[in-house]
Amino acid sequence: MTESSNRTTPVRRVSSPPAAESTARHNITVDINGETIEAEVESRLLLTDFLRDRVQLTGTHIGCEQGSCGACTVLLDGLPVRSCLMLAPQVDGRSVRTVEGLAAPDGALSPMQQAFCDHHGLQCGFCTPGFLMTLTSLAERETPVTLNELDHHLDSSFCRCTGYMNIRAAARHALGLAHVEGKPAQGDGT
Amino acid sequence: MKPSPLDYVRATSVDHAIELLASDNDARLLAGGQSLMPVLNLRLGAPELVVDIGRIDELRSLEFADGDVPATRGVLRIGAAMTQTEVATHPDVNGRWPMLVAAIAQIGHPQIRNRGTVCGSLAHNDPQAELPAVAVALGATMIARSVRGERSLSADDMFHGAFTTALEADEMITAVEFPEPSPEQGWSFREFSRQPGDFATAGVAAVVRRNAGSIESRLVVFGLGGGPTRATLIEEALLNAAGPDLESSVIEQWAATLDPVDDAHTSARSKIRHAQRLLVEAVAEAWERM
Repeated sequence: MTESSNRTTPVRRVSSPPAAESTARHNITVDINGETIEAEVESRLLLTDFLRDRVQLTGTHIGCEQGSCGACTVLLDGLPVRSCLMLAPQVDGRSVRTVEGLAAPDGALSPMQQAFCDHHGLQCGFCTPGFLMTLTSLAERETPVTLNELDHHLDSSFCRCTGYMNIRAAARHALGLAHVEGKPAQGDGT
Repeated sequence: MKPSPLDYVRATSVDHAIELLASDNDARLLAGGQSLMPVLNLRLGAPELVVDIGRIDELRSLEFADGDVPATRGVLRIGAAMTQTEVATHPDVNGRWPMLVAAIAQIGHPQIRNRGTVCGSLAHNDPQAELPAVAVALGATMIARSVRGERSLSADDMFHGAFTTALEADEMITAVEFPEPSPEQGWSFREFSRQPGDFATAGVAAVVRRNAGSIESRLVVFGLGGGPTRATLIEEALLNAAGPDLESSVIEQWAATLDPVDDAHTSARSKIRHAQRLLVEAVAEAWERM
């Protein structure tokens, strides 16, 4: 977890629009980037839309909304998941980390973010938050990451500008794999 | 908001979940949500009630039962709220049920497997899904509960056509049991997809073993449109085979029984060719491991 989880942070209540439908609403309490957020949410509100529209954390991007593109990836209790494939009520009592939670409070970039800058790992930036969250989970994991494993994680997000190679170079540097020999994995071996 | 209006209830126990299923016939279970959520977001389905079973304690279990006598194999029992990642990364599963681990590695991407459940994939029976085929190949048993009681369903009886199973509308899978493969059993899991993480164009889960001088096999093909389907013609041809090489006439005879349809990416003919190649490769690999 981030340092901020050790601070005592006040609970922040985010507002919801007035109920426009008869279905149930739910009171949820979520740890988001170390801050305790309370809200009343509709049953059908997606986690992505909750983060963007209610908590005003618009760094989590919406791409395909069916789990394919990876732009909406966030960390749920430390593991990368597609936030477009979760309902907001599902994260009640859990911990969510978004791209806004990566940099230090003084604005200093995380090592993975800095590597993306150093290696031109982003261009338009749309896919970047998803890549950063997935790769941050690898960087913070205790067991070492192999190059093959990195490549399979890079498969999981779409980038349409950089051609992936600069993202791969950034990730290799940040993960300490810069000097490991290996070509990008080809397919799934069939 | 993308899904149609719905009510969400987080079930606190299996009893709670099956009561909700029995009381509202337009309810859907949400475990990992990696199939249901795209359906809701695209409004291909609009249930009135979504019952979240993902945090029911009694379903969050992975149990290993040893056989009663040395000759009996162990059993892996996977609770319905266990994710694919949790199952595949368990060291005992990795060592003793290698086909299950190999198949899970082919499901979507890590982010999908971090949420998607083993039992959810079985209940959904997507024709392109890996786990129903693995369940048939390994002879798994599903445990189903409803307010009317509990019953066991063998994998052979469970899977019907695409997205259809033997489960009744008010039933839920609470666990799946995979018998431990015997040491002399060879296995292979192979699939072709257009790019890593995509749904399979075609795939094969194969198990072969020697038994009293003949070769018993379970060769399960998936991705071709129906549910997981055993290649019985090939299984019969292998019974008295001396090696894994199959007569091309037998393969052609089997291929003629396949009936996939063209889709936007792959013609039916091409799917059959993929299935043929994968089956031949899988039999050879499983034989080598036997």
